[in-house]
Amino acid sequence: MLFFSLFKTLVGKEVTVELKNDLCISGALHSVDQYLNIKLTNTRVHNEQKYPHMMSVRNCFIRGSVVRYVHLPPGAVDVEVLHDATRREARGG
Amino acid sequence: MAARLLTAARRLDIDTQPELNESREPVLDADDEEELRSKCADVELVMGDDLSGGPGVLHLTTRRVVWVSSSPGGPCLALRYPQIVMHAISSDPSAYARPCLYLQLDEGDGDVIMGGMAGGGAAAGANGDAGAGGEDEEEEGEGEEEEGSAEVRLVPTDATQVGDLFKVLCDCAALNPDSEVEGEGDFFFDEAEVMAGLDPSTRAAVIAERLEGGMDLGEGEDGGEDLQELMGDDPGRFEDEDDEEGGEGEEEEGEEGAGQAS
Repeated sequence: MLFFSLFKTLVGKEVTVELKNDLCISGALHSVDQYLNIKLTNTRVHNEQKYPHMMSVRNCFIRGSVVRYVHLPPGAVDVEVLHDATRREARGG
Repeated sequence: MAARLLTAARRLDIDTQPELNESREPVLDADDEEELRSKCADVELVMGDDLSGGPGVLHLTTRRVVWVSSSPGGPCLALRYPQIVMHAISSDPSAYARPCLYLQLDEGDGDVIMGGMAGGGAAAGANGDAGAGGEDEEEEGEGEEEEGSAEVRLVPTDATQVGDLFKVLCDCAALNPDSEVEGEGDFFFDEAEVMAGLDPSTRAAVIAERLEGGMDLGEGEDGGEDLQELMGDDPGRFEDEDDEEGGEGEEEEGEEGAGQAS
């Protein structure tokens, strides 16, 4: 649940979601649920030439299980706190 | 057009023969607690760039997205939510004439190829052990490069419906998480990373424990002695049978024997 909690703190911030099919979408994080389904608003697609139809998309719902990475805004993450939290989680705390 | 649409749909593992009742509405699976959440007439379905199924009726249930052509005997397609990688509202007239729902589907290829590679690797390993050739390599590198074909647009005649349909899709997608629980189990932490995260005294304790364990293991698994013991009353016990091809080298045989003994 660590990442769910983390993402909840990032609602409203600009993130980039990289999907397992290589689609890369930036946008404001609108909401996230326990399955890490992600809703973005004001989206922008990075590989437009591959998905030209995505150009007209401004908000979307991404299935949590297809997300490869979420690029976080550096300014919105306290790396030390996150590092500690992941350690605790890794230790099974 | 319909035939091409159905072919494209089947390639994406879309159900092209969902059960319909006499009024061409999808039969809901009560056992799976399937409920109809939204029904919208006059929705055109387009796959890829231009593969249109013509006008139809869109049913959003808690388990599936079912589109049924308005023409009698026309195609119908049923998508399960896990197939839908993402969905969105498309509303820029420069990209597509009318506002619509844009769905991107799982092409399935990624997983298949990954599976193939993993299988191939394991097979190669097995063959390596056996020292045998003759592996039948399945060249699955065809990788159909029809990018973008895993796209479906649902275009309601009444453009004001798009927002509501999007919302219902979001809600229903959230009701259908992948059955395979991904997440925590998938995170492998590098051992060094975990160790680095421990404070020095704990780390020392873990190392000491591990060393001790290692020594226990060493004592317990003294294969040589076990082998001697087992061979004691029957020295020929681990010899090759006469009719075997043999000639594998005695060391290997010894190891095998020890393996079985321990």
